[in-house]
Amino acid sequence: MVAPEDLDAVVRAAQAGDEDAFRLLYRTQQPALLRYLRVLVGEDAEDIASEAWLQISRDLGTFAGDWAGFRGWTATVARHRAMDSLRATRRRPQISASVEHFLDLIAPEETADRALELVATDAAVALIASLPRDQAEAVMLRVVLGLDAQAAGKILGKRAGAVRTAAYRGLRQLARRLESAGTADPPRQPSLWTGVTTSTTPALKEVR
Amino acid sequence: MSSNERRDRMDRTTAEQFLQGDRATLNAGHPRLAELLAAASTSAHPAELAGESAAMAAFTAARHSPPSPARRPSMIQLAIAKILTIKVAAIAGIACASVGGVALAANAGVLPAPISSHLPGAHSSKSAQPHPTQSGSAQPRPIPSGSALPRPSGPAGGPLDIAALCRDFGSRGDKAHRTKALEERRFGELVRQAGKKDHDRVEKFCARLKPSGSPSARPSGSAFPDAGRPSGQPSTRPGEQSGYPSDRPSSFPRGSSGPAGPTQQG
Repeated sequence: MVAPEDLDAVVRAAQAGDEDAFRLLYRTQQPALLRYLRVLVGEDAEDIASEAWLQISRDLGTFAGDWAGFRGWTATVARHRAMDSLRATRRRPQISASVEHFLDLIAPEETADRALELVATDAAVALIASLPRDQAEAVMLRVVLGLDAQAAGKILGKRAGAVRTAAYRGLRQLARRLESAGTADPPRQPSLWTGVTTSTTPALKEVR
Repeated sequence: MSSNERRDRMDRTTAEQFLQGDRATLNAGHPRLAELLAAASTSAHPAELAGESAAMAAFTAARHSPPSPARRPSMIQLAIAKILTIKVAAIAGIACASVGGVALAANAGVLPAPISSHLPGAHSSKSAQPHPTQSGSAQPRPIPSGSALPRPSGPAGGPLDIAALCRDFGSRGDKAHRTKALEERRFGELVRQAGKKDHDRVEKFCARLKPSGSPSARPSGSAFPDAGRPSGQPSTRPGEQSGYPSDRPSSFPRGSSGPAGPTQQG
């Protein structure tokens, strides 16, 4: 990992046209953007992320700020593209999420596998996405994008306090569901599944 | 229920501590949640970077055509800005040449000092530069004058200048005032050309000039305001261009997005 202070310099270098610097920014930021977009637009996340990076690379020269600012700015760009897409398609993404599935994936003996880690990441993001959207976004922006409440509030058009509350409620909700799943008897109790579990996660598992 | 008790431990403080980076607290109280959030924010998986080459290509392309095409300042605006910039540069160049020319002429003694100080309009173009537009920027006050009358005498002092001095002189109230005015330095040239510092003499001198041209006939300054106008405008352009906001964070809809998330069951 690169220290944030160093990434400030990397942002400047990329703005000056350094390709390696831009590549590093992409590799560091893209996973977080992609996961955030998955919460917003589901399976369209990769397409929207591509659009976002197109705009980011185009407008990088007009951006003013450090690495923290860059994270917030790119999240803003990604969110705009996601909102445009949602407006155009007029539909909400269907994200399947299963607490049990996630709990299976994080079993200690299995997490060494990188491919399974990716599935675990997807499952975790899907669980967050199953929260009410304001909570899901607050959790993603703060935990995954690593923004503080103020920066996240700027992106969401809310005050920092509202973001803190939404993130807190989201975390509490997740904790409750994870814990009650553990105490429940049958491991795959249907009531614990939110949304309609269809393709994504099982398919990924099969691919592996 | 035990799950209820555990749920209550997830209070605001714990949540905020965790959100600010204190993972230990959460690990202790909510290991599964800690796992979930760790999985959600773990480092990059190779599959997630599949778009890297496309992003790099976009970056390279953007570097070669810096101004973004899909942006608010359209190509037309940019073109206009460019044209205006060129125009301004040209005008500025001419103005510099003009000022330099006048200065040169004055230095060389072509212009008589008292006159060059206020109306170089006509003779500056005679003495130094070919362009009539230039003195406009150097000489903000256009002075209309009776035009091309034959120069009464003396090598220096254009007819426009003398005519202006005459008008100025004529506007100084009654005879007493005018007589007094002749003491002023600015009328030195007029007095010199009239031949004597005498009210009647000067008045007669000026009267002789008058018939040959109406004051409004050829305002030497008329071309200048037009030529000068663009110089104020384009200077604002480049600023606007470079300063447009990088994005429009306030414009996206805040919580308006569709129905709420799927209902969760606990």
